[in-house]
Amino acid sequence: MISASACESLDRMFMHSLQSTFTTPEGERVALTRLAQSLPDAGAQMVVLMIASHTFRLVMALHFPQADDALHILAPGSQAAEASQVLRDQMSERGNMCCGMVNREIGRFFAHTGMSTPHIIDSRSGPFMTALPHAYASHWRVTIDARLHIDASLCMHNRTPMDFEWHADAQQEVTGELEFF
Amino acid sequence: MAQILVVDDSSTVRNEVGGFLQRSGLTVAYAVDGKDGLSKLAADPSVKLVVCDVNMPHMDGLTMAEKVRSELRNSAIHIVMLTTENAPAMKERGKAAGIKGWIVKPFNGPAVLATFKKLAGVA
Repeated sequence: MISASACESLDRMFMHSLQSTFTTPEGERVALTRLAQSLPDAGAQMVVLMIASHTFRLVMALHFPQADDALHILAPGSQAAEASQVLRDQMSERGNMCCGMVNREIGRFFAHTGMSTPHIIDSRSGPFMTALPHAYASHWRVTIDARLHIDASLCMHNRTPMDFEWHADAQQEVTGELEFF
Repeated sequence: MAQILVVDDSSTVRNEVGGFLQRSGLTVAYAVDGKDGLSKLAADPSVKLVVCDVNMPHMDGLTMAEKVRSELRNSAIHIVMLTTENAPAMKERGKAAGIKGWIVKPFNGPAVLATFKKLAGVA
């Protein structure tokens, strides 16, 4: 069982992480739209990451197209010969940042979480994410600009009841600074 | 011969961090995971500072830090973790392995450059 509050909190975390990870080409906040199901373009690939503890498993996916617009916007300045690999590396790291932010926030409520490294697979595997047992799933479209969108999904499978409440404005996370030991 | 070793499985991060440090006048070597990092350190005793991710395939960054002390028997090298992780248990494990500091990504080069230079023996 997962409470409505936990589902809403997961969505808020995911939306917050997506809007922190992606910006428009002008550096502005991206628009997010809820989808009934992710609808990646033909030929798209997806970065998949997982956060797990002994009580839950949370899978996240970011679908990205291989189109020229994606290369120009997400991997600007890369040479044509290497552009595809640069885009994959860029998306892996953006997925890592996005999932890492959710991991840090969900770690405030659940101890001993672990996060995977990113894996890239064909977006046609996306529907299998929700074919596994799960308590909650949501899908979002990240509109980078008129030419490019990235579909993002999260899927929660919990083994014990889950209830928590999270709001972005309550957090004061510090990043980029060196904490000396 | 390098002053700083950047260990990350993401080429995006290696390029971003290493590029910034090189443009700042430091010599940089690279490793793609903890296992690679250990062998690079064993081969290059000139490295003074390691900037290392936590979650990596083959060998994670905290295990690498522990092996730098236990297998390479190098207690002089400074290790700073650069990671999306911020869990207290991980930091405690890092402290026990003698790491010098912890940075939650994203990397902010100008904010840490002076400290990195000092740890690398340049300043």
